[in-house]
Amino acid sequence: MQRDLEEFESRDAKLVAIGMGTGEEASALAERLGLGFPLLGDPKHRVYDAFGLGREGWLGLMLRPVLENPLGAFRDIAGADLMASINPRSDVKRLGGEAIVDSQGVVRWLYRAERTDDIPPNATLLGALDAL
Amino acid sequence: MAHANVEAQAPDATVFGKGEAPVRLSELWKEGPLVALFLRHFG
Repeated sequence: MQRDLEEFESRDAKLVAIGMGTGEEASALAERLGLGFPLLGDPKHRVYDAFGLGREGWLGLMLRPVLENPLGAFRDIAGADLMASINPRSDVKRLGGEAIVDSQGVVRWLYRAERTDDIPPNATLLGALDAL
Repeated sequence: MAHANVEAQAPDATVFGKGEAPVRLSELWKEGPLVALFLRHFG
């Protein structure tokens, strides 16, 4: 999203990222990443639950990435911030997702990831915004 | 628990910003379409 921030903003969209930590942890990560949009914390995963975001099993989390793309999997592991991963508020099995909510609070587009590497490209989100 | 779905009202849940300042999602979406990205974890 950071890469296409101008495209999102040209559509009057407000971007927000939500993570499974505290507000302070989210703020620190946003600063470290140099994000141009807010990163907010959901330490009890209430928003994740409310949007029906699922959890991956251990097989999908650990085995499938290694079997499908061993080099990529080991690269991901090597580059991972393991201390953040073992944060007690975090849940490495929790899957992500994306949602577009209009100004009336109606969910207009929702993507619930089915795998850990399941992230729609920005073009998909931009297309969904254009369809509003 | 009923989950949010397309064409349904989004949950007006609270998330937290710097200094643990509470932010309701409705404060974010009222200004225009909100694009929310849910991260897997901070790692």
